[in-house]
Amino acid sequence: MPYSKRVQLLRVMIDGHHLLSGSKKLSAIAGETNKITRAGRMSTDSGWLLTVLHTTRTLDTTLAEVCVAKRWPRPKGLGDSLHALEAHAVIPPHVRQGFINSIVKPRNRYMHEANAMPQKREAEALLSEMHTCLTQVLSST
Amino acid sequence: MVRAVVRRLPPRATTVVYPDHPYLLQPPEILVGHRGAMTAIFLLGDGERLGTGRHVLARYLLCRFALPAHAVFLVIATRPDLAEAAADAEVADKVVSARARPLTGSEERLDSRWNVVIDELRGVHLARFAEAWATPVRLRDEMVQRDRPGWSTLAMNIDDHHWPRSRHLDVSAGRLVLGRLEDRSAAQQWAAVSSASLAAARLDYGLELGVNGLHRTAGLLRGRDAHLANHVGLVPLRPPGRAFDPEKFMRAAAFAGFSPALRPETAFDNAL
Repeated sequence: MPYSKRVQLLRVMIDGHHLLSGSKKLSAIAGETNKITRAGRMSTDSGWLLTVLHTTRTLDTTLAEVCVAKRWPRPKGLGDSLHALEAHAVIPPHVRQGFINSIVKPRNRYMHEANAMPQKREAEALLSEMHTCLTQVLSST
Repeated sequence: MVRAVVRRLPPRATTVVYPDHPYLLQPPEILVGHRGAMTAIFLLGDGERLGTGRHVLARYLLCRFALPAHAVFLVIATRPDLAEAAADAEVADKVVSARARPLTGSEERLDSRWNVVIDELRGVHLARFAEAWATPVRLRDEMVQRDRPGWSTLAMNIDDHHWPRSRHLDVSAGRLVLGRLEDRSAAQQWAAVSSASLAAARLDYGLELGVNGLHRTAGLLRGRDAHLANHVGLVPLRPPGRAFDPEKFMRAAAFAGFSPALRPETAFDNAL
């Protein structure tokens, strides 16, 4: 199954979501998903890092926009969004904690630590978790 | 037929053919997102009927649970008589023949008996998935088994006629056990996990009796007379040849209720 089928699924989920149709950031999110596809064609460590970067921007912004559309306070980051989703019973507590462990912690390391570069397997695991998180939230709101 | 349908979709709609959904091994043929509306399109070819073959109700049920509640389910049939039969099944929100324009912009999700009961069951299904995915089977047994009311719905729905027919799948103590698949090819693993997932959905929700079986099962769960079983699955972590998202088979199996085993040899032996 080509990777593009997964990225395109995310675009459909975003474009087809009733809470996001009025978002002013919808075109920026779509632009970010296009960059995921382009970065995914580079099979180098920096290519994986770029893919993680654009995917996390897609995830962070989409979840924040879902919170705003629900008229909850605008979250400051992904951890905040996950807390809000748990507080409003969109995801159960252990799922939020699972996403913190599998997405937020490794993502922060790659984004903030000098010379931290994801290898193919690490990047694939992180990307899959981010896709799952996005799909789960958009399917449940 | 897929290409012909895609050509007739609104030009600005976002479309994916054969989407790679993290939870689904048999997703809709096409997903369309357009201005905050989502449409899942299923193509019904010659000789196919809703409720049989690759269009078994279990596939539609799992897709309903995996996609947003507002998604519209559209069935496109190659022949008008197939379209009429599919419309009678109540499962789709809209059924059209292949010559019709697939999306007119006026598609809405129906408040059909099928959709209403699925909305009721969505929460309990997703809660079981979250539990199955997060907690290996031995720990989960120790944690929650004592809280389960009554029999499993599978135990109440299964009989000799509806026993799963797969060498990888067995039934033990009111739940399904999916056996080892490590020595199989990726395609064989896909087939085994996919058919196990459909069998689990069919038996968990009483789909042999169609919408009536689903209503009966919802009543059992509502009255706490039964619970959704946590099945046991020994799905390989990294199937051969799968380049991306190696955990997809495990996740898709968990979505159908199979908890991955903590220690495969022990869990499988204990389960049997």
